[in-house]
Formats: sequence, structure tokens, C-alpha cells
Amino acid sequence: MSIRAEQTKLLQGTLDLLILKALALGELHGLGVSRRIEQMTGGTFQVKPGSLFPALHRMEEAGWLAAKWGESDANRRAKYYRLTAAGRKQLDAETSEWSRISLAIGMALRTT
Amino acid sequence: MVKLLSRLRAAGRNLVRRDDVERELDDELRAYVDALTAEKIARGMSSAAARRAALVEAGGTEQTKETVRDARAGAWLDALARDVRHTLRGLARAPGFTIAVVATLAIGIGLNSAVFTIVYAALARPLPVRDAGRIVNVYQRLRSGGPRGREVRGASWLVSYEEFQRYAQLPAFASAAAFHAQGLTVTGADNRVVSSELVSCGYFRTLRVRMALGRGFSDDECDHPGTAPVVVMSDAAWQAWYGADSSVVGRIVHVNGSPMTVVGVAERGFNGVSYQRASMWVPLTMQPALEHGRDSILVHDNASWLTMVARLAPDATLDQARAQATVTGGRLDAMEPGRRTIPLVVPGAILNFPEVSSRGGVPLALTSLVGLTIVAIACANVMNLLLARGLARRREIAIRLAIGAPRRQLVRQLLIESGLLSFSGALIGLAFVFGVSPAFRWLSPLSGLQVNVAPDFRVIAYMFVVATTTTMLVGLTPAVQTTRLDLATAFKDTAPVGARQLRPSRIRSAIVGAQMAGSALLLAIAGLFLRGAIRASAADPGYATRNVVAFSTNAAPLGYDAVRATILYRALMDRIRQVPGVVDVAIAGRLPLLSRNSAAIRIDRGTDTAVYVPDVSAVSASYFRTMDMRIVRGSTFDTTSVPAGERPVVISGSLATILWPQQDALGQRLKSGDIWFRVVGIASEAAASSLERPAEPIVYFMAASPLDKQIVVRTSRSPAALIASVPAWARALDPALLVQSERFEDRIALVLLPGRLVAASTAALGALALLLAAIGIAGVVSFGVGQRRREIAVRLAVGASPRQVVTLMMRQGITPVIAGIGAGLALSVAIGFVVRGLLFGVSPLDPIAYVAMVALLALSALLATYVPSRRAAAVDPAWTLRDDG
Repeated sequence: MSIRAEQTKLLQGTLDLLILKALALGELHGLGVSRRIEQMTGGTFQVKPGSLFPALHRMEEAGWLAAKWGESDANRRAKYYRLTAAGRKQLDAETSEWSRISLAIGMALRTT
Repeated sequence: MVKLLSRLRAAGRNLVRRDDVERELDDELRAYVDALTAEKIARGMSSAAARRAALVEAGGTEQTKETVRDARAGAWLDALARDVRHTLRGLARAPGFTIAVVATLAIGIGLNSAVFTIVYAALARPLPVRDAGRIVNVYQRLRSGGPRGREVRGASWLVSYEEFQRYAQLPAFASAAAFHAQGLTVTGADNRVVSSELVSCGYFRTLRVRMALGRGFSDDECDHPGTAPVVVMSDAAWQAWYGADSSVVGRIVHVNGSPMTVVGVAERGFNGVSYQRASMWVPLTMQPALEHGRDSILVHDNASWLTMVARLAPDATLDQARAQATVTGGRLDAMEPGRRTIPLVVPGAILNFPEVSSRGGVPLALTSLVGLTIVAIACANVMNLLLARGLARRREIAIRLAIGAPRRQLVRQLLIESGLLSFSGALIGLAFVFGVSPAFRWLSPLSGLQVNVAPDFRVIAYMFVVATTTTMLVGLTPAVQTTRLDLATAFKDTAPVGARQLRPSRIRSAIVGAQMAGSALLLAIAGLFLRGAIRASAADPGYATRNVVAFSTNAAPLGYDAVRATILYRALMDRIRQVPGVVDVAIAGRLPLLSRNSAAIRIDRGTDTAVYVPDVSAVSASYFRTMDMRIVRGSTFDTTSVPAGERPVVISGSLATILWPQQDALGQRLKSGDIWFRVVGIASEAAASSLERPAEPIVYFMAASPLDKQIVVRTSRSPAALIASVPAWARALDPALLVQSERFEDRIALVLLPGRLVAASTAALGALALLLAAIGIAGVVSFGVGQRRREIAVRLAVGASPRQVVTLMMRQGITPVIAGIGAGLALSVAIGFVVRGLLFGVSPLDPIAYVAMVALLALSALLATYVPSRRAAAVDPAWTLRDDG
């Protein structure tokens, strides 16, 4: 089952985290980010441009991502995003926050 | 923090380099689709099919772009900028409307802020000294002055030296000072009267004034009267008189004839804390010496003459100071049975007199009210214009609503429009505020007035608030009104004459009514004050005010005794009497109105003794003729009928009525001090303290010696030549004699100034309000004519005469006018009663003021409705009906 990222509000923060995580290994262009997320989540999240690009731009303006124009493998111009130091810090923060929340939710759901 | 900075930078880039940002987004999205296509081709799709599939999968690029734009930093700012540009374009297309609105608002907001500037400068602006926020003034209000009477120099809320010393002890005060503004004569190469302050020795310390040169006064210089002949001068005086010569310290100057040593020069920019700039400071304790011992108000414990300032102790509050002052006031009362003191501790300012908060506060409150009315009228006019414009734009707005623009966005745009208009108005209105200072200087008869009316941040903040309020006030109603549209109706080309149309026009009529009410109010107030000012200038205070001059000399300090002084004065008066045009010459203690003196008198009334405290004046017999007064009955100081051991006295008619209501006052006895006086004459009524009270109880004693008195002269022509020659004649009699002169009418003008200012300013504002209201009425009527063009055409077509049509249109315009005048009339009567005390006896129901106001308003309103109504008659039925058909 796949989830389109723009469907629910809950996924807003999740999307940021997924993008940060996707870029943690190296720089990617827009479609690359989208594919990487698909791959990381086993196809559960398919991020469409309508939610991908606003998020990328917002995060770039927040200083978490840096972008530059470069050549793709098919010799096409593309805008590549990479994590900045602030973005890395944000990824750490959001990761531990997410673990905390998922642990808590998990505990809550296990409680009878 | 990083995030915020980064976003701010991004917002700046988004706004400034919008085109680059947009192009980059285009490229990025295209690259995305290209990459997707390439991916699909790699999977084996044909290039055309792959592209199509990629486009479908990417979704609407325009929509994506829009969400990206919304997500960007400063997106709202961007939208605002877009709206502002749109609005500016719209306003540029209607230059007439824009100019009218901006000009109206500039006048309204500007005048209002100018009024605020003046009120603020006079009442609340801290004194021009260091850490002025901790400075307070101490005044006292005497409910009852006690049986001894009280000498008042300047104002009754001032304190005596002894009272100052008591209040200065309050623990809440870190230090305290008292001062008395006074002109002192400095003699040298040329004589001049220098506005100065007699100050207590803690004055410079309390106000934290530094010395540019030398020193201030030390405390021991105020220990004993007359022991410290020292002077501090202002930087300005030092520059002007001594060319900033630093050897001035230690020099001798002759002040009021006495040699005094210059000990210091105050820092630049400090000119005292009186409303008139001071150039020189002298220790208070030198007062008797400066007056050559003949007028020792310093040791007079029952005189109002000193303004007290104090600096609050670091941890003390104003409330503590007030509580402590009340205790001290109670002690003062305990020492003098019958006295009731209310001490007042108020934040320090130049003109924060208690009068201002009680009776004198009325003109200020009134001025504020006038200021607000002006803004309200301006707002009403602009609202009307906006409504009219909104109606004219109905189709545009309907189209935008129809294609899905949210109503909120339209309201926002209309508010942006009114905001742009009011802030442009406020900006231009700033000119008024900056104009206050020169205007004030021009209006003021006093040179060197020290009321700082230069706008500061508070004034600017005030204007901002006014402009914002104006925006909401002016913009909201028309915005809501305009966007509340029924699309179906709005799209019909012709304006319907149905119920929907009535709503805005009813609002417009209400606005016109309110405007008329405001104008009526202003004009009525102006009328009342104008009448008051005319009456005051024409008011008969009971004596002559024109061409009256008072001369005073320094005979007493020169060592003249009563006999020599009498000879000297007689010689001088004889010389003056020979001048052509001199009506008469007299001796008087002081001229009325400018300062007053009261004393207790006792009368025998059968068994008991009654005490009364009237104004007293010591004059020579020729005083009454000199001042153009009459002796109604009896004679002037005729001693023939006065028993031995008694002295003659003249009393005013109103005192006679008070003291002996049932009997003839002539021949009655009254006692002052230990001396019995016999009433030998009843003088015509005169004003002693105020022009508003033309009949006050006054006792005229016969001046025994001219030593501490003035020579009063009345001439039938301008006394300028006389004023110029008297000092020389005095010097011819004794080279050491100095003469100061004072023209009575100059001082009277000062007394009349507030009323005249209010009259002049409300009249000007009233005229302006009337003009605005007339424009408003004309607008409403002409809009009505436009709206009802077809109806008029039909009426004309079926035989109505043009005159009937004009009447019909005028009737519509004039109804709110009548209602407005009625409301304004009621309001102004109410205000008239409040300001009754300032009208110099004009009744708050003065018929002339009201009739003139109503006539003026009605005439203007008729004109304002007639001119546009005539356009109705010019409607060509055939043309109109075919055009709109």
C-alpha cells in the first residue's frame, strides 16, 4: 500500500524528516529525493512534486538544505540539494524526537 | 536563530529578485519532468508516450508553482506588495478622487496632530533637564486663604518661601528648589530688562544643570537674606553680552542697581524652567535686596509667588510624595485656623498649572475635542468618497467575485487602499505638525517662549495611531458594504432603484448628517468664543486699558525717604502732566488684573464684628480720573467729613452692597489693621482679578507715600514718546534714577490671549469643517442625481418641470442636513455650558452665535445641494432612456 504524502497532515513533519534522511547520504535532485524516499520506505511513501517542491524550498529557505545547479547522469541540468550543517543537526533532532514519539505511541497502543 | 536569519535572507531575495527566483523554479520543474521522462524512456516507453506519462504523473505544474510560492518566506509580504501595486494603479487611474481624499485626510490628521503637539508640549512634555522623568512640581490649592488674606503674584497655586521650605523637607524628595520668574534690570552701557529667575540655592542641583563656566549657587548663599550678591547667566546671554569671554566669571554686573558678581555660566541650551526663557539666575534670598527692601515678599509667609520643583528620591513614588505633602499641608493649616490647603504634586512640565487641570483645562479639552471633530469630519468625507467609488466599482468587484476571488481578499484590498490613502494623508499632514512651531512663535505675543512644540517620537506615534484608526474607520464600512454584492443585480448594466440601493445611500446620508453636526458644533463654539473675544476686547473692566502706562523707579533703594520721594514724584508727575495728550497722572500700588493683593477688613455690625477679605489697592486721589473711573457718590479721599483719628477710604459699589446691604455705605466705618477708616466715596465698579468679573469688591486706600508705588499715566494719544522721555527726565532729577515702564494694554493682551486663540482656531477649523461638509453634501446629492438619472428622465418625460425635479433632488439632500444641524445644536449648547467661564459673560445660549451658525450652515447646505441638483434638470429624457434602455 502506498501513501501519497500530501494526503494527511500528520505526514507534514514526517515529510521533512524523510527528505532530510534521503539527503543524509549525499546530494540529490528533486526526482532523486522522491525516488530515494520511495526506496527507503519500501514504496510506502510516494512524494509528488506538489508537496515535494514546496517542502524543498521551505527547507532551503530555513537553511537546512543548500542547492546548486549541476549535470544529471543523463547530461541534463538539474538542481541538486544537499544537507547543510544546520540540516544535519535538524535531522538528528527530528530523528530522536521521532523515536521518542513512536516509542510512546507504540507503548500506548500496546497498553490494554 | 539560524533558521530565522536564513528565512529573512530568503524573504529578501524572494522579494527583490523575484524574476530570478521564478525562472529558477520554472527550470527546476522542467528538469523534474525531463528526468521523469528519461526514466520512463529507460524503461522502454516511446519518447512521446513517456513525456505524456511524465506530465500526468507530475500533476499540474502551475499548481505546484503556486504551492511553492505560498511556502516561500515572505509570501504574505509578496501578496501585500502585489495588492499595493494593484491599488496604486487603481488610484493613479482616479487622480481626482485620490487627491481629494489625501488632501482631506492630510488636513484632518495634520490638524489633529498639531493640536496634540501643542497640548502635549504644554501639559505633559517633561522639563528640558536631565532625567526629567523624576521631576515633580508642587502646587497648592487654597480652599480658604484664612482670615489674613493672601498676596498673590502670578497665581494663587504658587507657594511662599516658608511653605517651600516645609515641602522641601519631604522624605520623598531627593532635593527641591523654588523659583520666581521676574524681569531684572541690568545696568551698564545700556540698561535692559532681562528675564530672570530668582532661585533657591538647590535649583541647579535639583535640575541637574551643569555649569559651562564657574559654579552654581552654594547652599550657604541662601542662608541669610541679602548676603549673596551673585549671578549665574545663561550660555546664550554670555554669548550675546560678553562674546563668550571666559573672563566673565568674577565680573561685576549691576542688577536692579545693586552690584552683583557673576559666578557662573550655565550649560548651553538651559534656559530655565519657566515658560519664558531665562537669561540670568539670582539667589532667591536676594529678593528683598533687589527690591531695595521695599517689597520683602521673601519673608511674607502668606504670599503665592514661588514655583516649586523637586526631584523624587531614587526609591520614592509620586503617590508617596503626595501623601507626605498632604500631611505637610495639614500642618500648615493647623498653624493658621480657617485655612484649608490642598497640596498638589504633579509630574514636572512647563505649563502643568492646576488651573490647566481645572478651569484652564477646559480650553485644552476643547481644543482636543475640536481636533477630534476635525478628524471625524475628514473621515466622514473620505468614507463618503470611498462609498461612492465603491459603488462605481461594483461591476469590477462583481466580476472578481464571480471568477472566484475570495471576499476576504477584496476586503483586504479595499483596506489597503484606505490604508495607503490615510498614511499618505498622515505623511503630508506631518507638514502641519512641523508648522506648529513657527506658527506658535508667530501667534505668541511673548518672545522667548519656552514651550517645545517640535514633534518628537510621541507625536509621530500619535499620528501613526490616528492614521491606523482612520484607515479602519474609513475603510471598513465601505469595504464591507461594497463587497456585499448580489451578483445578479450588480451585473445588470443599469443601477436599480430598489431597496439594495437604499442601504449605501442611507449610510451616506447618515455620514452627511454627522458631518453637519460636527460643523455645527465647531461653528457654534467658534461663534461663542468669537462673541466672547469681542465682548472681552470691548468689555468694560471699569477702567481705561488703552494708552495707560505705569512707570516704576528705584527711588527706594537709592535711599529716598517718604518726604524726598514725594518731592521727586511730584516733580516727575508735574513734568509728565505738561506733555500734550496726557489726561492725568496718578500714584498706584499696582495696576489691576496683573497682580492682586487682598487684606482683611472688619466692620461693626451692631454687636458683632464681621470680617471680609476684599482686594485692596493704595492709590492717589487722581487715580480714578487717570483710570477713567468715576466716583459714583461722595468724593475722593476728602478728609473734611472724617473724624480725627480716622482716615478716608473709597470702596467699590459691589463692596458697599456686600458690607452694608440695607444701609448707605457712605459715612460707615471699617477697620484695617488697627486703623479705622471712614467711607467717603463709592467708586464705579471695576475688575480686579479677571475681565470676566467686572464688578469686584475693592477697597481703595489713600497712598501715603509714593515710595513703593508706580506712576500711572493715561494719554489721549500713543504714549510711545512719553515712555521714551520719562527715564531721561528722571535722570535729570537724579542721575542714579532708573525708570521701568509697562504698557497696560500689552499685559491685557496676554490676559485675553487664550480666548482669542480658541476663537480664531475654532473659527478657522469650523470654516474648514463647513467646507468639507459642503463637499460631502454636494457629493451625496450629485451621486443621487447620477443614480436616479432614469427616474428623473421618466419624470421629465411625463411632464415634470425641471424646477420640480431640482426640488425633489434637493429635498433628498437637505434632510440629513437638518437632522445634523439639530444634533450639532444640542451638542454645542451642552459644551457652551461647560465653557461658560471662558466666554467673558456671553451666555452659552447666546442667540446671535447660534442664529449665525444655523444661517451659515443652512446657506452652505442649500448651495451644496442646489448646484448638483441642477444637473438633474439638465437630464435629457430621450437620450438617457435610450442610452440605458
